[in-house]
Amino acid sequence: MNRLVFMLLMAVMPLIAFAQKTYYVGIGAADVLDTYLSPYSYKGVHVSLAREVQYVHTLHNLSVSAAFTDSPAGNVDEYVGDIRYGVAHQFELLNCNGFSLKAGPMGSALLGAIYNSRNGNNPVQAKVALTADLSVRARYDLRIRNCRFPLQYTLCVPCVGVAFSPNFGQSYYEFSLGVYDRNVKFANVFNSPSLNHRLTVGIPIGDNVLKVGYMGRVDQSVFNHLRYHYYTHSLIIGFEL
Amino acid sequence: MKHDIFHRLISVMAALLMVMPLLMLSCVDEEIPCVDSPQGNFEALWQLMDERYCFFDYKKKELGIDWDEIHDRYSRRISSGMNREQLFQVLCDMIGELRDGHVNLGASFDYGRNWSYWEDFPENYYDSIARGYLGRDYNIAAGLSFRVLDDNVGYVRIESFSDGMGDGNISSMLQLLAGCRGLIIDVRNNGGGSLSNVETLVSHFTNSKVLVGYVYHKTGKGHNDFSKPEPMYVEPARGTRWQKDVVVITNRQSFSATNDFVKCMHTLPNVTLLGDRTGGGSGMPFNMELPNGWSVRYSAVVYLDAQGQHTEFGIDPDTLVMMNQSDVIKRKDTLIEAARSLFW
Repeated sequence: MNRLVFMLLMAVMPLIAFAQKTYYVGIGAADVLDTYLSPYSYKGVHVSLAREVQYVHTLHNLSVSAAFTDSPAGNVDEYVGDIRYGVAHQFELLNCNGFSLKAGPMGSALLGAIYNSRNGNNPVQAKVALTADLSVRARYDLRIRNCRFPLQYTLCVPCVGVAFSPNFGQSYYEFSLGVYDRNVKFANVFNSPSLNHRLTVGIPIGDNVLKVGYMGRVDQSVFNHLRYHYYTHSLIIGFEL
Repeated sequence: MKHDIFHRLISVMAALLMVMPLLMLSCVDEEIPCVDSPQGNFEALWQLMDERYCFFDYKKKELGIDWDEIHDRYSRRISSGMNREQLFQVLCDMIGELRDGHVNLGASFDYGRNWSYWEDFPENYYDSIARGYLGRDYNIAAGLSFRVLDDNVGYVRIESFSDGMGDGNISSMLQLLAGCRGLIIDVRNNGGGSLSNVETLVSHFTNSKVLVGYVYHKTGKGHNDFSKPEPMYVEPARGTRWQKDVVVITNRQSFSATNDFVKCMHTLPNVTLLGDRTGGGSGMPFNMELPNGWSVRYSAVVYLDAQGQHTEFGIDPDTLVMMNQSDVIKRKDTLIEAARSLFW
């Protein structure tokens, strides 16, 4: 038994030892549309926190984001908040001359909500989704005067999954009565074409790396004739430990 | 060899993924154009109602409403030079055709409505007279004001269903009124509130699970795109339950959630409705907006009674009683007096 535990530890140790942890904070612009709440897009500020843990072949990503937006006329507020977790297993496809490319499947879970400050019986829209994604990570070590500046691009595209949506005119009160109507939807690249991507450049500081870059998020769906998009463009700063 | 093919497959998929961001960025966007002009706001309101209002089929049968014809008629009143007050008036006139108290237009300077469901009828309620029955030493339990009248009849006044109303409040009230011969629940001039409060209150008047109605919603943009009507039940409360007769007093301002309360109570065997027809308003309202920021409220979810019939235009009482002016001069409430007489 002890021998088995020892062997397992020996197998896992290299993975733990090579873990790269990066913490990001981001701020930027948000554009939100959810036609359950309003026919129009709301625009405002987006903030996010993310933690990425990178092993040899595995990537864990946890992010929390919020957006504070205004209606086109500027008289109504809409708030967005969500938490997303994803774990990917990536295969190395290319590794030459400082360039590496990895790709693989990813499983993601999203939990969030949008709140509209004006609405009475339809003030909130819940966002829940479980998806199987494809993730890609490209990295190039840029060298300037013996200094290494790693450029990294990561991309995640949800492919299939399940997502929650009320029906077109369904009230949340009906759920309390036990009335459900096509509320679990099959999500795919046609009815919910979405992606998350991030481009960073690393600046070595001692043994650590400061990362600066761009993060974009395109969440979209059309379920039960309800249209949704959540676009963000953020400047991000991260610290790799 | 297999490993190599697998890697190639992943490479192709990865390459496709790199290109996909460019392909997908303009997919899901607004369907109703956000054009802040008189014409743009008019079209936005008309389309929004066209796609989402839930009573077009019913009102076509009852009132002969043709929403396309209404568009043509009112679009002629729209011009690019009109000011916001003129535009507001035209838009209110248009949605007023639906004769629905839940259809409103909200601007910073006015609230557009069609309250003909009660404005065209006798009020049958004088607040100062009804308050005389409560006196000064009445009890207040959440949104319930109550006391025992001098002929040992319990009188409960509910001005709104918006205030929180818990099982504890209702049980305490019913315990205090337990010695009464009967109970009067006065919901005149009660414009509604929370359906949860309605359900909680009704559950204290039944000893068994009872079918109180049906609910359905829109599933698409067509006027007849509806879900299957689902039955709604009220389960008996765990707290104190009233076992004696009840009279519910209504008038034309008993609207929305109050109409729903009356609808539910009407399914119970020991309940009598007395007064005037209720104001209706059986659609649950949702909110939207126009490009200029005016808020739009409209009926989105349909609630039917236990027989599967609409109550959008109100519920008739079992006993029609109108306020008698000679009683008013004597500071008597004809409806309360008529309700009291039912317990003798």
